[in-house]
Amino acid sequence: MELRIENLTKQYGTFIAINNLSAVLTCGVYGLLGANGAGKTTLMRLLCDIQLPTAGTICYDGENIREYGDRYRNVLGYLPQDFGYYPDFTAMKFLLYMSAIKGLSKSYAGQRSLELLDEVDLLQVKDKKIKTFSGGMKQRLGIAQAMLNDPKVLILDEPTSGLDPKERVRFRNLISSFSRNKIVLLSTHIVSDVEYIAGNILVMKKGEFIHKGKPDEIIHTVDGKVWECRVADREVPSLESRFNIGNMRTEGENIILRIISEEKPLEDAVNVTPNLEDLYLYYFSDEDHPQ
Amino acid sequence: MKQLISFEIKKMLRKPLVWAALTGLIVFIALMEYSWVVPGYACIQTENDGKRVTIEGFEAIAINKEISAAYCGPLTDEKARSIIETYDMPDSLWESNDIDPGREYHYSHNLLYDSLSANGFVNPDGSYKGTTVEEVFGALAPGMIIGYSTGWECTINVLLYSFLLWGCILVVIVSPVFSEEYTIHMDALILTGIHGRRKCTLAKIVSAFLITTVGSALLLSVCTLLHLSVHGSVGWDSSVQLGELGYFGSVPYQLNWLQLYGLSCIAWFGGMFVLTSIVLVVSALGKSSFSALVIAFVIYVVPMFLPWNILPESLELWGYLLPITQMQLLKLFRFDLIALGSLTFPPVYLAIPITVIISIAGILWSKRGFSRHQVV
Repeated sequence: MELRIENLTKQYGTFIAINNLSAVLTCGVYGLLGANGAGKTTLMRLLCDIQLPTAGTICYDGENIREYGDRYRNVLGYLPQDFGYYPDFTAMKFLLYMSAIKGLSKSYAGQRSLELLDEVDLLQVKDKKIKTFSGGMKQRLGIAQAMLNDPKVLILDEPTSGLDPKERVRFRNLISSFSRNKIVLLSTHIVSDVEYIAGNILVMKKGEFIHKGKPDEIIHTVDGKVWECRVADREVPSLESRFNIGNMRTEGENIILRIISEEKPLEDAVNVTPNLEDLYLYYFSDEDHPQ
Repeated sequence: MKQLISFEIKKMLRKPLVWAALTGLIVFIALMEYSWVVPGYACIQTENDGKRVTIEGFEAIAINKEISAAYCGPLTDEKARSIIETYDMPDSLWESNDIDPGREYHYSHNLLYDSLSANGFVNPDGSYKGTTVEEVFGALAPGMIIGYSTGWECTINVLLYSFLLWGCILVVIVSPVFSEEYTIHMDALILTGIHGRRKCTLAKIVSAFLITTVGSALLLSVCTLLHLSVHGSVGWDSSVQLGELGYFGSVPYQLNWLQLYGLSCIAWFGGMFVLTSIVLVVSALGKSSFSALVIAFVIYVVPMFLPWNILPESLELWGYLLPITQMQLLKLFRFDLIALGSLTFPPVYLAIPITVIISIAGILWSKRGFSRHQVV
């Protein structure tokens, strides 16, 4: 099972949202990491065949998804970013509606919906209207609908944004449990989401993949560029203006700063092992802040 | 497919705004029926021992029917004279009741007297003018049939206004069919489902037409049943030009109330189907449910206010074949029969091919608009 992206480009007028991307995705969880506006959502829409590329192709098991047509939709599960629900539908009715759209038989749809509601811990509230649900509950319902047809390709666009830490952990675990024997592509700008569940990471900036690989391999690209140093409180503003500062923590009278820099920022700075958040800061410090 | 249609109908109808609008329509119809049909304004003024007596409501309907039964059939000069002379009230009666005889035409005598009065058979003082049927109706005179027409005239009037309002409500119901999916970003989910582009899109279109058909049929049935229960079918064969209110007095060809009712159904149903098709296209091409609602509403309502009469007659007719102007009936029925070789037919028949063509175009265009829509 493979999803092959070849020279994919999407242009809106003169703005290039996706610039000549190529990648091959096989079974496993892929974290698509990038700042807002990097092109993650556009890429996902192209992968879902709900936007047409300006150039390039996407092939599933060697066949162009445009030609694969409805058969491709049969293996596809998608959770878009910020999608609305029908507020007056109950959770169960919503899943039955989505099942009908996904072509599941009525009897199987009922059984599968109950199973999934149980898995996402919404069985108790299956007959409650969606408008009464919290953000986390809605997202869990969202992943349940994406899983209705037991997809081979699961595309999740910023599924954890707006969730509190507890819901985020819960949601991550759900994705992990659903990811067996699937191509899962998870886009986010929340570093910890991909850090824990993604076996592969695609780092995207300005419509291009700037790195692809396993988390450890990618993190190595910033080896030697992450420093820690102990400074006095009054020195922090000046350092903040000169360097890309990561974590800051207070220890007694001093502040321990984590600085991402090509060169040693201070005499007593110590080189430390980078993590994914450092990588994010290294590449996206000029765009937005990680969460 | 059945399941998808059922879901789509529920989605369309389960909205507070739709229920508020439907409640408004029911109240409007109830008030219209009460004011016009059940029993409506039915009123007879007559003389009893030198006093003016007013009879209203169901009793007036019954008396009107009795009077009509005595005169029903072809309208002759003798009948016209007899009706006016029998039911005219003397000036003394108006004076004794302190009513200005010069304003007599404001007061109802009975249905037949009023019909003749509306058609110019009566002097300002209420007496017979001496005008002949041929002078009033010209070439149509030999076929003019008089009879009990109030029920038909009022029911068609109620239906006309009810359909115009039902059209507004249909815009509210149908305009979000596709556009709401864009607004709440459900389009992405629908279009990634195996049936999203075809069956679901078709289910939305079928649901919209089902609601249009069932709603229109229900409206027509309720009003017709009320009419039949209160007024009966009597007078169906009388001429629309002899209506008491004179709404259809200028129809330039022979037409009875049953024929008018049938032709009106073509106009109403045709108008509703064309409206549904247009709203579906607007909904599929619209950017949001609000913009689709506003655009659809403007397309529906604005033609009512356009001065079609400044156009040449051949173009003016097309202006009256737009959904709202077509459903208003009155102007459409002022046009003469259309001749096509040896065949002549009322202009309202043009609504049939127009409805078929626009409905097919609307279905295809809206289906294409939604299924090929690029999610943003």
